[in-house]
Amino acid sequence: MTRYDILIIGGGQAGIPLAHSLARAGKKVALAERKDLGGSCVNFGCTPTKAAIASARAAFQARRGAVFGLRVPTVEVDFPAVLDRARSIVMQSRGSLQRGFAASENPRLLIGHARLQGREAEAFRVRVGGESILAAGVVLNTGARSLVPPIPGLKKVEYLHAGNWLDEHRIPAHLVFIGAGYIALEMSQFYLRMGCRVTVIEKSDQILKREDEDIVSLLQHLLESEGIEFRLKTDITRIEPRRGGAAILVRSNGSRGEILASRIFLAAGRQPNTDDLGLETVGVKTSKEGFVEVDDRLATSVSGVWAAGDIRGGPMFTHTSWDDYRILESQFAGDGSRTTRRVVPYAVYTDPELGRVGQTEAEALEAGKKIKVGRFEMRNNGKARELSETDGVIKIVVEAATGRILGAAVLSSDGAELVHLCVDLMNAGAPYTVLRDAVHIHPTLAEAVQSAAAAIQ
Amino acid sequence: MKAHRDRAGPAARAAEEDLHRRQKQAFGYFLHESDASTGLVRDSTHPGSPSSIAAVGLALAAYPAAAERGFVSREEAAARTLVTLRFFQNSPHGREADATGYRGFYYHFLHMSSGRRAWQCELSTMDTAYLLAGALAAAAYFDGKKTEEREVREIADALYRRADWQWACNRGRTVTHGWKPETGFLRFRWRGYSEALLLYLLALGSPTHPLPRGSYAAWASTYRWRKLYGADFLYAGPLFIHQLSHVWVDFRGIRDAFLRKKGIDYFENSRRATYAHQRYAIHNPRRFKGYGEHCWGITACEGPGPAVLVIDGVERRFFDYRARSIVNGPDDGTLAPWAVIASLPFAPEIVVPTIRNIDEMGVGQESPYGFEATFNPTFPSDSGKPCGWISPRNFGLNDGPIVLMIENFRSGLLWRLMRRCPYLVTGLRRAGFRGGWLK
Repeated sequence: MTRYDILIIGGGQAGIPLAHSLARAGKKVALAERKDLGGSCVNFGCTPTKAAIASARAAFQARRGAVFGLRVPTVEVDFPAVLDRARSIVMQSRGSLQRGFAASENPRLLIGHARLQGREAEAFRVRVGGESILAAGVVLNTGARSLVPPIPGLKKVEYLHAGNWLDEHRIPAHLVFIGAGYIALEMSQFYLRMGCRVTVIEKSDQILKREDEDIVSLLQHLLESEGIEFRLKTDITRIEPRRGGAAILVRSNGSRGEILASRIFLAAGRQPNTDDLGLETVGVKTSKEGFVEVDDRLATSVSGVWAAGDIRGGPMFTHTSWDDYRILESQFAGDGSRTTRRVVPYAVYTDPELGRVGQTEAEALEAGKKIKVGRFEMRNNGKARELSETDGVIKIVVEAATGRILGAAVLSSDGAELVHLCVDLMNAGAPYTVLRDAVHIHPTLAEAVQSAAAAIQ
Repeated sequence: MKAHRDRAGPAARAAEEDLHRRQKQAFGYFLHESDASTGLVRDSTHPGSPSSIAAVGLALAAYPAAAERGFVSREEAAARTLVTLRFFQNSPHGREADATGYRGFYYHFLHMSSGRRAWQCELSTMDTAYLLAGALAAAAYFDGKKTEEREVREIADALYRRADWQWACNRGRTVTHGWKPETGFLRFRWRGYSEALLLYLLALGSPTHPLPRGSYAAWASTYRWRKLYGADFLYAGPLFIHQLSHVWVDFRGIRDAFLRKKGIDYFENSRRATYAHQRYAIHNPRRFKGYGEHCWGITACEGPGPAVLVIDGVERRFFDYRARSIVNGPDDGTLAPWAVIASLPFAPEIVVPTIRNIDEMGVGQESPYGFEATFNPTFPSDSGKPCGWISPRNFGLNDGPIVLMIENFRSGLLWRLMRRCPYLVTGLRRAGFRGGWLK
C-alpha cells in the first residue's frame, strides 16, 4: 500500500496549489480527484459564468448602440457559440492544471472517488477508485454542490443548476429561478440578455438577503427594469411536470398561483460534498448541514485532517479557497501564523457589479458599533457618465472613533474591481481619510469611491 | 413682462417670484434626472427607476420654457432636445420584444442605460402622444437657421409622421391603449373624456396615418356631463385629466361639437373642474384631515398605502398608486400639490393661495425639485408637520406640468408654440373644433 505524507481529496482551488507547494517543500503528496481538476470555479463556476456573462454584456452593449450614437440594426445571439466560447476557456484553464500533474510523480494525481476507511496505526487509510493508500495527513477539498430543497415534485422535472447549465444548448423560452442569491442574479441576467424571459422566485422578502436593503433594492429595480420579474415572499408548494416544462405552484400573501416555466434553474443554496467521504470512519465532526467544522487554522476535530474550500463553512469563494491553501501551506511548511481571520471581499457579477467587503451598515449597527457612512451615486461620477454607465451607488461604513473602514458596497460598473480600494485599506488598518485625501486619476470610476469616502459624516 | 412687473404691487411681485422659483426648482428634475446620452428622463427619483416616455415628452416641452426663462441657454436646450430626438430616431424600432418602439409608438417605460423596453411594459399610445407633443413643441420653438435647430424640426417631423394611428386602432374606430409583442393589442380603448383628448387631436392631424374622422365622435360618445357642487361640467374624476392636454393645447375660445352645445370651452370646463375639486375638499364628505378651501388636489398619484389603519376610531384604507377621484373616490386623503399648480391658468385666484398653504404645511422642504409628488395629512407620520405623510419621490410626470402650466400662466408659451403646429391645427379642425384662434 502506497504511503503519502499528505493526501489531498479534491482538486479545487485550494487543493491543487497546496499539492504543488507541499511537494516542493519535500513532502510526498497525492491529490485525488474524481472528475475534473479545477473544482467548481474552473469547470462550471467562475470561469464559464464570467465568460458567458461577458458575452451577455457584449450583446447588451451592442443593443444599446443608439445610446452612443451608433446604429446597430440587430443583435443575434448564437447561444451554442456563447457556451462553446465559455467551454473553450474552461478547457484552457483545466488543461493547464492537468499539464501541471502530467509528468509529475510528486505530487501524484489519483483519479477516482476518495473515501476515508479509518486508520492504520497513525495513518489514515483511504480508498481512491480501486486503490487503497495510506496518508499521514489528509486535506479535504471536495467543494459543494447545488442544494436540492425538499419541494414536492422537484425530482420529477429536469432542472438546470450551477453544475449543469453549460450542458443545455437551447435557450429556454421562460426560465424560472428558484432562489435569489448571487448565482440566481448573475445567471438570470445572463439568460435574460441571451433572449430568455426570466422569473426569479424567492421565499424571503429580499434578494441577496445578507446585504443592506438600500443596496439590493436598487439592484433589484435595475434588474426589473431590464426585464427580470421577481416574485419575492413566495413559497413554492409543489412542482408538476407539464408539456414543454413545469408548473410551479406558489403561495404568496395568502393567495395561490401557478407559474409556468419552460425550464427551472435551481439556485437555492449550496451543500457540501461531505456525505460520501467516510468522515465518520475517523470521527471528523460536521455541522448538521454537513460542513466540516474547523478552527481558524483549518484543522478539523481530528488531528491530521484538515479542510479547505467550500466544505469548511463560511465564505464559499475561489479567493477564500486560494487563501485556504496559503493558510495550510503556512501550517505544513511555514510558521503556522496564517489563519482564517482575514478580510474577505466578494462580488456579485451582475451588471452593474456589486463589490462587497466587510460588514454591511445593518450588521455594524446590530453589532452596536458607532459608525459613520458615506454614500455616492455613480451618476455623479464623470467617467460613469462618459461611459453611460451611471447606474449604482457606493457606500462606505467606517468606525466613528477610528475612521477605520468596517465595510463597503460598490454597486457599479467594475464594482468588483473598485471595492479593492477599500479592501486594501482594511488590510492596512488605515482610516478612510487615506482614501479621501489621495490623488486619483481623473476621469476614473475609482474617483467615485473617493467621493464616497469624502461624503462620510 | 417688465412693464407689467413694475406696475404690480409687492404682493403680486412676491407671487410672481414664488412661481418663478417653483418653476425653476421643478425644471431641475429634467436637468438632473435625465441621461445626457439619450435624453431619457427617469420616471421618478426612486432608485433604479426606468425612463417614462411621457416624462421625456414633458422634458422636450420644458426645454423651450427653460430657455426663455434663462434656466438654460437656448443652445443647451437645443442640444438636449436634439440628443433626445436622435435617440428616438435611431433606437431599435421593430417587433422584437426588447425594442424601443414599433410602428412609430414607444414603450411606456424604457430601461435607462439601454433605452430599450423596461419590464414587460406596453407600447403605449397615450404616452407616445405626450412624447410626440413634446417633440412638436420643440420643433415649433427651435425655428432658427442653425443646423441643430433645423435637425430638431426634421426629426420631430419624422417621428410624428412615423406613428401609425390607424394600426393602433386595431380595426376599431377608437385607439387602443397599446400593444405588447407577446400578446398583441391591449383590450382597452380610449373612449370617454380623459387625457386622451391630446392623443386624438395629434392622431387626427397626422398627414401619414390619420384616424378616420368618426373616431373622435366615437371617443366622445361616452362623455358625461355632470353637475357637482353647483357647477355643470364635462366630468372626469381626477384633476390631471382636466390639465394634461392643456399643457400643449390652447383651448381658450375653441369648441368641439359637444361643448358648443354646452356653451363653454375646455378651458372653462377645467376651471369648473378645479372649483369642483376645491368645493369637494371644503365639503370633505369622508372627513380627511387637512382638506379645505386651500388644501385640495385629488388626482392619479401614489399614496402612503397599501395599508388599513384605524385613525381616531375610523378604519381608513390607504392606497399606493391609484387614479384618485372625486366624488365617488377612490379618495384616501392623499393630495397632489402638482395637480393644484397645473390648474394655475384656469383658476389662479384659488390656486395661488392653495400653493402658499401647502407650502406652509411643510411640503417641499426635502426635495431639490420643490413640492414632492403627494402628501397625506391623515396618514400617521413622524414628521410632526401639518402635511403629515409626504411622498419620498418626485415624478417627471408631476414636475413637467408644474414647469409648463406655470409657463402657460405666465406667458402662454406652449400654447403659442402649438398654435403654430400645423398638425395640431388640422387635428383640432378634424375633431370639429371651431372658433377663437382657429378662425
